[in-house]
Amino acid sequence: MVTFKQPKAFRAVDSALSEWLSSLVRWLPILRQKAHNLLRNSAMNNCEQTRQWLDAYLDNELDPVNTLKIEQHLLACAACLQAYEEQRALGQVTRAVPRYPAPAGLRERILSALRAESDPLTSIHSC
Amino acid sequence: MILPHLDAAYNLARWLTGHDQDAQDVVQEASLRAFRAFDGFYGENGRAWLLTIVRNTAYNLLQKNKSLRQTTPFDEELHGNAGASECATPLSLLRGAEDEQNLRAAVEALPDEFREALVLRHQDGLSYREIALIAGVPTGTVMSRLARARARLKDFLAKGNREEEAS
Ligand SMILES: [Zn+2]
Repeated sequence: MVTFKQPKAFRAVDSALSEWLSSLVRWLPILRQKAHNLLRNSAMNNCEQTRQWLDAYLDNELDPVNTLKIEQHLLACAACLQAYEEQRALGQVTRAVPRYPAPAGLRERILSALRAESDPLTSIHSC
Repeated sequence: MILPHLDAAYNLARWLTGHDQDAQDVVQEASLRAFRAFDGFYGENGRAWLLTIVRNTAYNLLQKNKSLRQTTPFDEELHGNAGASECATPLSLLRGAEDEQNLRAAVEALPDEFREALVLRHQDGLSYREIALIAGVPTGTVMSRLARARARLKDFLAKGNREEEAS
Protein backbone atom coordinates (compact mmCIF):
# COMPACT_ATOMS: atom_id res chain seq x y z
CA MET A 1 0.00 0.00 0.00
CA VAL A 2 2.71 2.36 0.97
CA THR A 3 4.90 1.34 -1.93
CA PHE A 4 1.99 1.88 -4.30
CA LYS A 5 1.38 5.50 -3.21
CA GLN A 6 5.00 6.61 -3.11
CA PRO A 7 5.48 7.39 -6.78
CA LYS A 8 2.36 9.54 -6.74
CA ALA A 9 3.68 11.48 -3.74
CA PHE A 10 6.98 11.92 -5.51
CA ARG A 11 5.22 13.25 -8.57
CA ALA A 12 3.33 15.74 -6.43
CA VAL A 13 6.52 16.92 -4.75
CA ASP A 14 8.26 17.08 -8.08
CA SER A 15 5.60 19.23 -9.69
CA ALA A 16 5.38 21.50 -6.66
CA LEU A 17 9.13 21.91 -6.71
CA SER A 18 9.29 22.75 -10.38
CA GLU A 19 6.43 25.18 -9.99
CA TRP A 20 8.25 26.84 -7.11
CA LEU A 21 11.46 26.97 -9.11
CA SER A 22 9.81 28.53 -12.12
CA SER A 23 8.11 31.15 -9.95
CA LEU A 24 11.45 31.84 -8.32
CA VAL A 25 13.02 32.37 -11.73
CA ARG A 26 10.20 34.76 -12.58
CA TRP A 27 10.56 36.67 -9.30
CA LEU A 28 14.34 36.65 -9.17
CA PRO A 29 14.97 39.91 -11.08
CA ILE A 30 12.34 41.68 -8.97
CA LEU A 31 13.80 40.29 -5.74
CA ARG A 32 17.24 41.32 -6.89
CA GLN A 33 16.07 44.85 -7.59
CA LYS A 34 14.38 45.03 -4.20
CA ALA A 35 17.50 43.82 -2.40
CA HIS A 36 19.57 46.32 -4.34
CA ASN A 37 17.27 49.22 -3.37
CA LEU A 38 17.27 48.10 0.23
CA LEU A 39 21.07 48.05 0.34
CA ARG A 40 21.35 51.43 -1.32
CA ASN A 41 18.83 52.99 1.05
CA SER A 42 20.53 51.55 4.09
CA ALA A 43 23.86 52.83 2.80
CA MET A 44 22.33 56.29 2.52
CA ASN A 45 20.93 56.04 6.03
CA ASN A 46 24.33 54.88 7.19
CA CYS A 47 25.96 57.98 5.69
CA GLU A 48 23.56 60.24 7.51
CA GLN A 49 24.03 58.35 10.76
CA THR A 50 27.79 58.17 10.35
CA ARG A 51 28.06 61.94 9.93
CA GLN A 52 25.86 62.43 12.94
CA TRP A 53 27.95 60.16 15.16
CA LEU A 54 31.36 61.13 13.76
CA ASP A 55 32.18 63.59 16.54
CA ALA A 56 31.15 61.19 19.28
CA TYR A 57 33.16 58.46 17.56
CA LEU A 58 36.27 60.66 17.45
CA ASP A 59 35.69 61.62 21.08
CA ASN A 60 35.52 57.98 22.12
CA GLU A 61 32.03 58.57 23.42
CA LEU A 62 30.22 56.05 21.24
CA ASP A 63 29.04 52.64 22.46
CA PRO A 64 30.81 49.56 20.99
CA VAL A 65 27.92 48.56 18.71
CA ASN A 66 27.70 51.94 16.98
CA THR A 67 31.48 52.22 16.94
CA LEU A 68 31.64 49.01 14.93
CA LYS A 69 28.86 50.19 12.62
CA ILE A 70 30.74 53.41 11.90
CA GLU A 71 34.04 51.64 11.34
CA GLN A 72 32.44 49.22 8.91
CA HIS A 73 30.83 52.08 7.07
CA LEU A 74 34.07 54.07 6.88
CA LEU A 75 35.77 51.10 5.24
CA ALA A 76 33.08 51.02 2.57
CA CYS A 77 32.30 54.72 1.97
CA ALA A 78 34.92 57.10 0.57
CA ALA A 79 32.82 60.23 1.16
CA CYS A 80 32.35 59.50 4.85
CA LEU A 81 36.00 58.54 5.17
CA GLN A 82 36.93 61.97 3.85
CA ALA A 83 34.54 63.62 6.29
CA TYR A 84 36.19 61.58 9.03
CA GLU A 85 39.69 62.72 7.99
CA GLU A 86 38.53 66.33 7.94
CA GLN A 87 36.96 66.06 11.36
CA ARG A 88 40.04 64.33 12.72
CA ALA A 89 42.26 67.15 11.42
CA LEU A 90 39.92 69.63 13.06
CA GLY A 91 40.28 67.69 16.32
CA GLN A 92 44.06 68.06 16.06
CA VAL A 93 43.63 71.77 15.47
CA THR A 94 41.35 72.10 18.49
CA ARG A 95 43.77 70.25 20.70
CA ALA A 96 46.51 72.60 19.52
CA VAL A 97 44.71 75.62 20.99
CA PRO A 98 47.15 76.75 23.68
CA ARG A 99 46.07 76.49 27.32
CA TYR A 100 46.43 79.31 29.77
CA PRO A 101 48.74 78.07 32.51
CA ALA A 102 47.92 79.23 36.03
CA PRO A 103 50.15 82.20 36.99
CA ALA A 104 52.95 81.41 39.44
CA GLY A 105 51.49 83.40 42.32
CA LEU A 106 47.97 82.00 42.14
CA ARG A 107 48.61 78.83 44.14
CA GLU A 108 50.14 80.81 47.01
CA ARG A 109 47.40 83.43 46.84
CA ILE A 110 44.70 80.76 47.14
CA LEU A 111 46.54 78.87 49.85
CA SER A 112 46.78 81.98 52.00
CA ALA A 113 43.12 82.81 51.35
CA LEU A 114 42.19 79.29 52.42
CA ARG A 115 44.46 79.56 55.45
CA ALA A 116 42.80 82.80 56.49
CA GLU A 117 39.41 81.17 56.00
CA SER A 118 40.28 78.17 58.15
CA ASP A 119 42.18 80.10 60.82
CA PRO A 120 39.73 79.36 63.64
CA LEU A 121 39.96 75.65 62.77
CA THR A 122 43.75 75.49 62.64
CA SER A 123 44.03 77.26 65.96
CA ILE A 124 41.94 74.50 67.53
CA HIS A 125 43.86 71.62 65.95
CA SER A 126 47.09 73.59 65.92
CA CYS A 127 49.93 71.46 64.63
CA MET B 1 40.54 68.81 46.29
CA ILE B 2 41.30 72.27 44.91
CA LEU B 3 45.02 72.56 44.27
CA PRO B 4 45.38 69.50 41.99
CA HIS B 5 42.82 71.08 39.65
CA LEU B 6 44.13 74.62 39.84
CA ASP B 7 45.42 74.59 36.27
CA ALA B 8 42.13 73.33 34.85
CA ALA B 9 40.24 75.83 37.01
CA TYR B 10 42.36 78.78 35.90
CA ASN B 11 42.29 77.74 32.25
CA LEU B 12 38.48 77.55 32.24
CA ALA B 13 38.14 80.84 34.11
CA ARG B 14 40.61 82.52 31.76
CA TRP B 15 38.73 81.36 28.66
CA LEU B 16 35.37 82.38 30.11
CA THR B 17 36.32 85.80 31.48
CA GLY B 18 38.89 86.69 28.82
CA HIS B 19 41.10 88.42 31.41
CA ASP B 20 43.94 87.20 33.61
CA GLN B 21 43.03 89.22 36.70
CA ASP B 22 39.34 88.33 36.46
CA ALA B 23 40.27 84.67 36.04
CA GLN B 24 42.49 84.74 39.14
CA ASP B 25 39.72 86.39 41.16
CA VAL B 26 37.23 83.80 39.92
CA VAL B 27 39.49 80.88 40.84
CA GLN B 28 40.16 82.30 44.28
CA GLU B 29 36.49 82.94 44.97
CA ALA B 30 35.54 79.52 43.62
CA SER B 31 38.20 77.87 45.76
CA LEU B 32 36.81 79.53 48.87
CA ARG B 33 33.28 78.56 47.91
CA ALA B 34 34.37 74.98 47.31
CA PHE B 35 36.20 74.96 50.63
CA ARG B 36 33.16 76.25 52.51
CA ALA B 37 30.81 73.84 50.73
CA PHE B 38 33.12 70.87 51.14
CA ASP B 39 30.97 69.29 53.86
CA GLY B 40 28.12 69.27 51.38
CA PHE B 41 30.12 67.43 48.74
CA TYR B 42 29.23 63.76 48.48
CA GLY B 43 30.13 63.14 44.85
CA GLU B 44 33.14 61.27 43.58
CA ASN B 45 34.21 63.69 40.87
CA GLY B 46 36.06 66.48 42.63
CA ARG B 47 37.34 68.01 39.44
CA ALA B 48 33.90 68.31 37.83
CA TRP B 49 32.55 69.70 41.09
CA LEU B 50 35.24 72.38 41.36
CA LEU B 51 34.94 73.29 37.67
CA THR B 52 31.17 73.69 38.13
CA ILE B 53 31.80 76.23 40.88
CA VAL B 54 34.46 77.97 38.77
CA ARG B 55 32.05 78.17 35.84
CA ASN B 56 29.20 79.57 37.93
CA THR B 57 31.50 82.08 39.60
CA ALA B 58 32.81 83.19 36.21
CA TYR B 59 29.29 83.66 34.83
CA ASN B 60 28.31 85.65 37.92
CA LEU B 61 31.24 87.95 37.30
CA LEU B 62 30.40 88.26 33.61
CA GLN B 63 26.84 89.11 34.55
CA LYS B 64 28.09 91.81 36.92
CA ASN B 65 30.37 93.25 34.25
CA LYS B 66 27.71 93.12 31.58
CA SER B 67 26.72 96.73 32.12
CA LEU B 68 30.36 97.83 31.91
CA ARG B 69 31.37 95.83 28.86
CA GLN B 70 29.11 96.09 25.87
CA THR B 71 28.11 92.60 24.79
CA THR B 72 26.13 91.95 21.65
CA PRO B 73 24.06 88.80 21.14
CA PHE B 74 25.50 86.35 18.65
CA ASP B 75 24.07 86.89 15.19
CA GLU B 76 23.86 83.81 12.94
CA GLU B 77 23.33 86.02 9.89
CA LEU B 78 26.48 88.01 10.48
CA HIS B 79 28.78 85.27 11.71
CA GLY B 80 27.34 82.27 9.90
CA ASN B 81 29.87 82.27 7.02
CA ALA B 82 27.56 80.14 4.92
CA GLY B 83 29.41 77.85 2.56
CA ALA B 84 32.87 78.51 3.96
CA SER B 85 33.24 74.95 5.24
CA GLU B 86 33.04 73.67 1.67
CA CYS B 87 36.57 74.94 1.05
CA ALA B 88 38.06 73.57 4.24
CA THR B 89 40.42 70.70 3.58
CA PRO B 90 42.38 69.12 6.44
CA LEU B 91 45.55 70.65 5.02
CA SER B 92 44.22 74.18 4.85
CA LEU B 93 42.82 73.82 8.37
CA LEU B 94 46.21 72.86 9.72
CA ARG B 95 47.76 75.76 7.87
CA GLY B 96 45.33 78.16 9.53
CA ALA B 97 46.10 76.63 12.90
CA GLU B 98 49.84 77.18 12.66
CA ASP B 99 49.35 80.64 14.01
CA GLU B 100 48.64 80.40 17.74
CA GLN B 101 47.15 83.86 17.87
CA ASN B 102 44.79 82.98 15.07
CA LEU B 103 43.70 79.83 16.89
CA ARG B 104 43.09 81.65 20.15
CA ALA B 105 41.10 84.31 18.33
CA ALA B 106 39.00 81.59 16.69
CA VAL B 107 38.13 80.08 20.07
CA GLU B 108 37.54 83.48 21.65
CA ALA B 109 35.06 84.32 18.90
CA LEU B 110 32.85 81.39 19.94
CA PRO B 111 29.76 81.96 22.11
CA ASP B 112 30.43 81.20 25.81
CA GLU B 113 28.62 77.88 25.96
CA PHE B 114 30.41 76.57 22.87
CA ARG B 115 33.78 77.79 24.11
CA GLU B 116 33.41 76.18 27.53
CA ALA B 117 32.43 72.83 25.99
CA LEU B 118 35.40 72.96 23.63
CA VAL B 119 37.88 73.94 26.33
CA LEU B 120 36.66 71.29 28.77
CA ARG B 121 36.64 68.60 26.10
CA HIS B 122 39.90 69.28 24.31
CA GLN B 123 42.08 70.92 26.92
CA ASP B 124 41.06 68.97 29.98
CA GLY B 125 39.79 65.81 28.29
CA LEU B 126 36.49 65.78 30.17
CA SER B 127 33.78 63.35 29.07
CA TYR B 128 30.45 64.48 27.63
CA ARG B 129 28.86 63.44 30.92
CA GLU B 130 31.22 65.56 33.00
CA ILE B 131 30.72 68.57 30.73
CA ALA B 132 26.96 68.07 30.94
CA LEU B 133 27.23 68.03 34.72
CA ILE B 134 29.29 71.23 34.78
CA ALA B 135 27.14 73.14 32.28
CA GLY B 136 23.89 71.78 33.74
CA VAL B 137 22.57 70.48 30.41
CA PRO B 138 21.84 67.00 28.96
CA THR B 139 24.72 65.14 27.26
CA GLY B 140 22.91 65.47 23.92
CA THR B 141 23.21 69.24 24.25
CA VAL B 142 26.93 68.92 24.96
CA MET B 143 27.29 66.85 21.82
CA SER B 144 25.51 69.38 19.64
CA ARG B 145 27.35 72.32 21.20
CA LEU B 146 30.67 70.64 20.48
CA ALA B 147 29.62 69.88 16.91
CA ARG B 148 28.56 73.48 16.34
CA ALA B 149 31.66 74.84 18.04
CA ARG B 150 33.85 72.76 15.74
CA ALA B 151 31.89 73.81 12.67
CA ARG B 152 32.33 77.48 13.64
CA LEU B 153 36.03 76.96 14.24
CA LYS B 154 36.39 75.32 10.86
CA ASP B 155 34.60 78.20 9.15
CA PHE B 156 36.71 80.75 11.03
CA LEU B 157 39.98 79.10 10.03
CA ALA B 158 38.84 78.58 6.44
CA LYS B 159 37.86 82.23 6.22
CA GLY B 160 41.24 83.32 7.59
CA ASN B 161 42.97 81.24 4.94
CA ARG B 162 40.90 82.66 2.14
CA GLU B 163 41.64 86.21 3.23
CA GLU B 164 45.32 85.38 3.42
CA GLU B 165 45.28 83.96 -0.08
CA ALA B 166 43.33 86.92 -1.41
CA SER B 167 45.77 89.50 -0.06
ZN1 LIG C 1 28.89 57.19 3.84
